[in-house]
Amino acid sequence: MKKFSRREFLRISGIGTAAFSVPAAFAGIIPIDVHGRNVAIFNSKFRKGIHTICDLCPARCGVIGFLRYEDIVAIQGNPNHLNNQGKICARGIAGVNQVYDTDRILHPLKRIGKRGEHKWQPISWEQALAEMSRRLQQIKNSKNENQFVFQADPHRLRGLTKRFLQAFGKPTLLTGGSYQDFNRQSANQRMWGVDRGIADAANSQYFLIFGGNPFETHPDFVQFNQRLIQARLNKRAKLVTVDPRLSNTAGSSDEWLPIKPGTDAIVALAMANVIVQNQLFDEQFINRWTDVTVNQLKSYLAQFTVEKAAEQSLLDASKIERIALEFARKQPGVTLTGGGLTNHINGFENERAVMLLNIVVGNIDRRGGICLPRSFPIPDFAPLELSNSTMTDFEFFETVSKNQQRVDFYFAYKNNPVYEYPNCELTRAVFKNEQQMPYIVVMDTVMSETAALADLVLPAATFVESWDLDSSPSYEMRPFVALAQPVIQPQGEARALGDVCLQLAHRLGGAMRNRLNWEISEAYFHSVINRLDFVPDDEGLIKQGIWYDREADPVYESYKNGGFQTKSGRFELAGSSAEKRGLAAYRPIQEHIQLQKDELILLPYKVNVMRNDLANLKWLAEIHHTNAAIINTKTGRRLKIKTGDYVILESKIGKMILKAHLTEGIQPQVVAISEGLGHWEYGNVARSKRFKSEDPDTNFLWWEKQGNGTHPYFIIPVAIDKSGKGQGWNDTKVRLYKA
Amino acid sequence: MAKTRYAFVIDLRRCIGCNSCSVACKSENSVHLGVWMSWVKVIQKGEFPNVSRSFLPLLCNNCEDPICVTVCPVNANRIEENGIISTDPHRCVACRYCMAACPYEVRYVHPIKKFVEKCNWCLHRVKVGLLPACVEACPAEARIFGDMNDPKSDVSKLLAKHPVQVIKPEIGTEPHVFYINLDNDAIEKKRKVDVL
Repeated sequence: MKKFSRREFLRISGIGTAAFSVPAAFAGIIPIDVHGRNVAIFNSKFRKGIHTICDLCPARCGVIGFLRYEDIVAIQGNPNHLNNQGKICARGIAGVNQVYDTDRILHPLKRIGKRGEHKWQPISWEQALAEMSRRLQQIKNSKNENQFVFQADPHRLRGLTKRFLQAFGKPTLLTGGSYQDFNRQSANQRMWGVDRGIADAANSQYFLIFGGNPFETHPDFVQFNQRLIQARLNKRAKLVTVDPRLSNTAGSSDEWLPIKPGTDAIVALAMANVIVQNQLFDEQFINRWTDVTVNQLKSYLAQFTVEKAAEQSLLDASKIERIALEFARKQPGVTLTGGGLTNHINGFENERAVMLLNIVVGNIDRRGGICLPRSFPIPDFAPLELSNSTMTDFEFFETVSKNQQRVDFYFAYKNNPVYEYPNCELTRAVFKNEQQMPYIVVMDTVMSETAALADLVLPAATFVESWDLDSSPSYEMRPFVALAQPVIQPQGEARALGDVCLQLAHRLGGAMRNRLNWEISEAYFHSVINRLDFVPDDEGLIKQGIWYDREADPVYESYKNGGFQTKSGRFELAGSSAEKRGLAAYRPIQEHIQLQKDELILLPYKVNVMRNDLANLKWLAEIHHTNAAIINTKTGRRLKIKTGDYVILESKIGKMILKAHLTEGIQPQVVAISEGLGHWEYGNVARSKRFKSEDPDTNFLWWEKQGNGTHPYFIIPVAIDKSGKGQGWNDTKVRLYKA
Repeated sequence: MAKTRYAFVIDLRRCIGCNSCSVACKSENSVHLGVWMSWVKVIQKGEFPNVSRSFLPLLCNNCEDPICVTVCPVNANRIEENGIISTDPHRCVACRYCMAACPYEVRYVHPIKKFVEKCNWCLHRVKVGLLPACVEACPAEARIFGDMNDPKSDVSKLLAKHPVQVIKPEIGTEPHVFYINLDNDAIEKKRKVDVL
């Protein structure tokens, strides 16, 4: 890593030497014009900062880690970064907590008791690697590569990890828990060949959000919200949210439409119908760039009247019509979809139905519309092609439990399926079963629910301790490449996944060694940076953490040269006749049509400061640490339940007990519970346990008596949308009664 | 040139209640669990289906006429030349007189060192030309900080353009955190409203 010389340091800081030689307090008042710096409180000296990328969520914001001697003391946004422009969210700042977590795993641990007994013996990396490579060699020799199961979030399956997995053969890949929007991905892939569209929020006039909550959980949280707020203020853009629950987004929208869960598709189709009937469509775009004609579309949509939509969704027919017209007239506008739309057993069709709204007004890859993601193709860092097995991710452990799938070696990297997959009880049983899962390795920073049942637990490096390269979709519509580099040395014996992959490959030898022929991951990243032909200034990339062409202008409507990345080159609304998919349809969820008096639909939701894997970060846990069954006041009155009463929620696979919380901000047929809490393993903070350690804060854990909340996934069964492979997280019908 | 007087403008039309400011403050000022210099209140209003939410970030107002400074028996509070009120941990005897006097409940006793602390708009950062940590972090750019006596600063421009409100103006301390679009009902409720 290149060190700043003192001269350079001063030059970059943009502040004269006076500020350094004289204690700043006596130097008079200095105008405030410097961003992305941090200063020591007691001697007013600027701290050394190293640019890197946050990886606590898929947004990949550019951040700077600031050092006090060898320790990282603060994380701030990187003002040079094109996407987040120097701003970061609470999670990124609290990343410091993860590094110095008192519950952090710092050595490889080998299980010596029974599974889940918490009896561990610290072993050396040498021994851990020898053990793993022996097992991997056996799998390779027997040519059963698919019995090596590797689980990680998709944005972590890059670089050396990707090389390792490709060189190994065809391992089974599981890509994460509740953050994975399989339905959205497959719907978009089949329509226009990308995982998801990027809203050009800065230039939009109208935001129509279906089941999404960008103010709390957008996959590009900071970058999207920044631009959404700018558009609202400077361009008077309107924000309309269709969501059964009053989220922070819905609550601060111009309009909130409390829809019945799972009926979004018919509302979107009825809106498209209104637009088409009123001749507000973009005829040229539809006829030239999609696989249907305007007339086909018109006659197909005619069946979806606003009255029908109103009947299904329990919304106002006139409101649906008005918003459809507004959306079409106030262009450019954009629709957004979120987990509330995607995570249904009809999520695939929901996604396609909402996309139809963008299509009829022709707002595809235009200024202010929904755009193709713009990023640089870096060979090792493009998304990994997932194997085309017929089995879906969320069904995996159910298949294992029925002995239909062998797992000889299971490896999870910062993933926690025992907690994050539906039907926790079943997943937990599978992980406890040594016949079905003979060898489990978990690499994580804390003892997660999955790690607690593992045979080998490896200490993982955090994002401020490892290398990475990233070219996420740009919100300035100009691609960039950003670099993550270690700010500090890994704590204890923690290692980056890339390094572990290298060492395993070296032990396995042969072709694997040839494909991963670097000693350490740093060498690999330097060679990758050298090979980036389009980056003229490698030094700049290292120093600023990002490179992009400052002269380039955003290019819109790029599909006009070469078409979309689909078979026909057009936007495939109906798909080829062989697939028999047809235009987006509304598939009502049968279970929800008739609801008994005490039956409600369970919606797990995410809040802005909490994710399933952040519960042990003290600053975040302090803000959100307990949850309740949130129901409408009317529902409460009907069931004779008051705020604070204990209630039982019963689904077909189990029961749970928790407190009720009555509010006006929720659809009356729904009960909502926040996610990310109710950990039974994980660290002490996640379990709301006050304890003494070298960090005095762990003894100030004031919410111990409130408990750590409940985890709704215990009563959510596996329910898969066959066309999109996504899990129906929001479809569980529960009975709710007083305990 | 007029004397520098720092001020905050919080544009509530922008705030999305993400709590970046609260956490950035914890990080920058090593604030322990259980106490806050800066926090966000969530307010929900209305009846189904016409319900709305708003957010109210709170921090020390660094008043022009601060009661906390007046009441302190040991002169532990000092009004800096830029208008910020700093506390001197060496003088403070933790009698909590200032805590009782402060209408904004922004003061707390440091849980270990037992002296009174409060938000000082990151004085250590401001002194060397940096923005307060919460302003630097705010993804929504809802927090604007600067010299209100300098007509070219963002704060002055906003103050000139928009009607602003302060919390509890009737007390007469001349608070210097100005809110754009402040909802009066938001102030009335207790310190922290837990919207789950």
